[in-house]
This record gives sequence, structure tokens and C-alpha cells, in this order.
Amino acid sequence: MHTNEEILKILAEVKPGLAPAPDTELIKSGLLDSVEVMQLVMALGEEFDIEITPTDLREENFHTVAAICALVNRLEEE
Amino acid sequence: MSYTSFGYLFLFLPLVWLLWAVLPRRARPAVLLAASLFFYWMSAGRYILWILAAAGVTWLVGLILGRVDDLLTTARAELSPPGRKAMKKQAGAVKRLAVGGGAAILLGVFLWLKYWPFAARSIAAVLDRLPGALSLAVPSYVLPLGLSFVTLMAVGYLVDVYRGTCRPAQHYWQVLSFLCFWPHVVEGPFDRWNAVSGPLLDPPRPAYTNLTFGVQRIVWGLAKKMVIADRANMYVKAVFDDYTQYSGMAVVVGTLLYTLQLYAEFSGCMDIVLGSAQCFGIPLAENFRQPFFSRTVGEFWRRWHMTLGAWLREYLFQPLILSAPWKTLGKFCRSHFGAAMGRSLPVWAALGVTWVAIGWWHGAGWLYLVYGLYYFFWQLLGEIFEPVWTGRFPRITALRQRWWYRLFQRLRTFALVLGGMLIFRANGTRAVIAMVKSLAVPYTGSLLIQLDARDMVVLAVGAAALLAVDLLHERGVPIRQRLAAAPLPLRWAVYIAGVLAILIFGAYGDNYDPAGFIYAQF
Repeated sequence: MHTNEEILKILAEVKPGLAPAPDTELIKSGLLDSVEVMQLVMALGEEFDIEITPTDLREENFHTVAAICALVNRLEEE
Repeated sequence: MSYTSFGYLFLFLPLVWLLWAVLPRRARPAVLLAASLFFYWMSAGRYILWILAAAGVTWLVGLILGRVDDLLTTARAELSPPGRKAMKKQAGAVKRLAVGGGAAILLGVFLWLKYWPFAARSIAAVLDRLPGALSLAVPSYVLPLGLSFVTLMAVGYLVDVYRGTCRPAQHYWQVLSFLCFWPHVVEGPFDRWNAVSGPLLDPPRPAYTNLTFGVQRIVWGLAKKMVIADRANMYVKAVFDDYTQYSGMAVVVGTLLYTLQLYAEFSGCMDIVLGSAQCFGIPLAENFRQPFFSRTVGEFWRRWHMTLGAWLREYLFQPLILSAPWKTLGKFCRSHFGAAMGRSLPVWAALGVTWVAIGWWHGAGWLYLVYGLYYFFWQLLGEIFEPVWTGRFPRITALRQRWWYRLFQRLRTFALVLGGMLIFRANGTRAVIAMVKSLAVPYTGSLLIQLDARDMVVLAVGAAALLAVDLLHERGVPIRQRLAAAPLPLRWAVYIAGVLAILIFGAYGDNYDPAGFIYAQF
């Protein structure tokens, strides 16, 4: 099981200076735009060796650090 | 049939609504379909055959995709794990073939009609310069009404069914109703099956609120189009069509007025079509969200023509990045340029492809490629320098919260958008270069070009009204709900003032040359 801290570390690499709380809204608040989300997707795929598909690219899977962590854990189990 | 015509506003729309409201609920979808087909036939004549065929292909392919999914679900319970895996693989291949074939047919017709004349013209120009007798005939096609909008909505539907995010329609008339629904067939928005099919195929009861809110929005859209856009068009047309005669401030004012014209016209058209659909209780997708409050070019395009941006993001930009070639590119970049470039370069490459698509979606020509690349350049610059800024000047994150810095960002974005507008409206790439150069030459003539001082005052007041409404929306003020809650005399005074403003200040009559809807050409 991966943790929010691991996701936060990757987020900080994608967007330096970004250190949100696990339940901070990332998409609607504008903290992450569509380009940064895709950079994050690339980084997650590389770091955790998971395959993120277009159907996974739903807002609810990326709107908080906790949601991203849940997605990573789910994809890894699959 | 134009959305601003007497026939649409005073005959078609009221008659269809009356018929829709008085007939039993189960007959209402048929009323909407018949009205849409009538509207299309009145506007495009025999090209109705194209939309009937496109709907047929979309329905059939959707049905195949749904059938494969159903077979897979049924068979899964009876198969062993290896058998399930093999069947899933087979089903995936069949689905990919079906969605690929359907999309190829729909996009093939679209690309052929819209882009082949441009490609042939470009090839013929090259052949002319080569020795030899090679030549190529350049065809000229009349595009079916709503070609771009219907094609992309149909492809979006097929991909959604393929991905399993929506269930396919069981009947042909359902897909046809969705694709040819008259409010979105001419200029969009790009609607999604999941959002629209419910109220379209199983209409709600006629509601006073839907009707009044819908009519309010139509009146507001008409005011934008007729008072602002059609008036500004006089000035814009003179400056851009005869650009060698103008320079300096005349070009600046012309570009400013074109920006005002396009915003008033396109968002006004969206108000008319969303208002029309709202009268029938059908919520179409919003296409604008106060775009001139954007702080970056990327944000501007997330607020301007939002449904086009969303379509390209979901069906082009994201799938490209997740595709095998892009993953290979990511690995190559990572091994050669490091982890940061490994995740950024493929995304920027996909961004470039998306901007080219946005540019060429607006028109088949080199000018539109320049238009797309212009925005790509500014967005890419922002992407590259963002980490540099935040790394070198950590205080910038706090500065960005200050009101004056936000204002600076908005003005900067507005200036960049003005550059894009100049490219978009100019008559070719040579005209863009000439007009940009002419900015350095002072203009000594009168700035009242084709318009008098009264017209300019009307435009200034109109622009201020647009800005005020956008500002209230940006602050989350529900204007129409507030108006609906106001006392009856005040409410009706506002309605009557709106209609009078169109009648008194609307740009129509012998002295005006009202423009057709710009986005209807796509």
C-alpha cells in the first residue's frame, strides 16, 4: 500500500512548491491544470509501474492527494 | 434558418414549444426530432442526407460495441479465469476494430470535405513550381451544416460507449435526435450523450421557470449579437479587409473591437441556443466562463469555447499521452534528458499536436496553423519558465495572491489574446505580418471608421455591460435567480428594457451589414 507522502513527493517534483493537505482540492481550485495532471500521470506510471488508462482520467481520481493515492493502490492491485 | 431570424424567434421556436407542451409526454421526443430535422432541412436542404447517414453509422457502431460488452458480461460467469482473459482480449480487439472503423468513416468524410481542398491547393502550388507537367485539380466542396460539430459529437459518443462510460442508444432515432438537435447543430456546444439524452428522449414537464429563464437568455444573447457584435463588425470589416489603408491605433482599435465582436457574437449565440434548449428543459453544456478574467493563456482556453477544449483534451491530448508511441518517447526522453524532461517533453509534444488541431479546427489554411502555434508558443513558454520563476523567486507564489499582480496577469493574458485575435481575423498570413508591422506607423486619420461617435458610445456601454455581467458571474452572483426573485414590476421593467435596447440600439437596417455567425462556418 502506498501512502499520501509518496504521492506528495511526486507532486512536488511535478510542481515545485506544491505541498497540499491530503484532502485539499487540486483540480477545481486550479492547483493542478490539465498539463500538470498529465505530467503527474507520466510520473506515477514511471514510479509505480502502473498503467493509467483514459477511463482512469476522471476528476474524482485526481482531485485530492488521497484520491490519487487510492487510484495508485487500486491500479497496483489490478 | 438563422438563430436571429424572425422565422426562428417568432415562428419556429414558439410553435415547436407549443406543440411540445400540449402533446402527451411520450410524443414530445418525436416533436423535438421532427423540429430538428425541419430546422436542418430548412438550413441545409439536401445535406440532410449526410446527417441521416452519419447518425446511422454512429448508431450501428454503438450498437455493436454494446453487444460485445453484453456478450462478454454473459460469458464471464461461465468461463474459467484463463478463458475470461482470452475472451476479454478478443472482445477488446473487436471493439477497437468497430470504434476505429466508425471513427474512420465519420472523420474520413469530415477530413475529406473540410481539408482535402486545402491539401490539394498546397500540393498543386508545389507542383506548379516544379519542372514537368504534373498538376492537381483543386476541388471545392460545400460543407454540410454543422459538419465539425456533429462529427466530433458522434466520435465522442462512440469513444464513450467503447470506454464503457455510457450505454449505447438502442434506436436509430435516439442517436439522430442527439446529433441533429437544432440548438447545438450549427455552432455547438459539443454536448455529451450522457448529459443530454435523458431530457431529450424523456422530456420533463413544461415548466414556467425553464421557459422564462430560457427566454431571458435568448434576449440577452440577441442583445449581444445585434447591439454589440453586428455594430463592431462594421469597423472590423473595414480595417481588416482593407488593412493597407490603416495602421497604428486604427489597427489596435480594430483588433479590440474584433475581440469584442467575437466574444459578443459567439457567447451571444450560445445564450440563444442554451436558452432555446432550456425552454424545453434540456441543459446544454456551457461554452464560456468569463474568459477575460483568465490569468494565463492556458486558462483562457479552459474558459473560452470550453466544450471544444474539453473534447480535444479527452479524446486527443490525454489518449495521445497514454499511447504506446508517447510512452516510448517518454522513456527515450527520461534516459537522455533526465526524469523531469521524461515526463514533460511527451506532454508538451501532445500539447503541440492539440494546438495544431485547435488551429486547423478553426479553418483549413496556413493562417490557422499559425493561430494554433501562436497559442502553443505562449503556453509552452509559460510551462518552461514556471519552474524557473518559482525556483529563482520563491516569493512569487505569495505575490500571485496580491490583487495588483492578478490584474497584471489578466492584462498580460488579454494582450496575448489580442495578438491571437489579430491572426484569427486577418486575411492571410501576409496580412498578419503587414498589420503587425503597421502598428509602428502612427495613424493620422479619424478613428471613427464606418461608425459614428454614437455607435462608439453604444459599443463602450455594451462592453461595460458585458464586463459587469461577467464580473458578477465571476463572483458567483446568480443574476437570473436574483432577477426572478425581484418584484414583478422591476422584473418586467428589466425584460422590456432588454427588448427595447435591441430594437433601439440593434445594428440592423440599411446602414448596417450584419455578419453571419462566425462559428457557423466550422
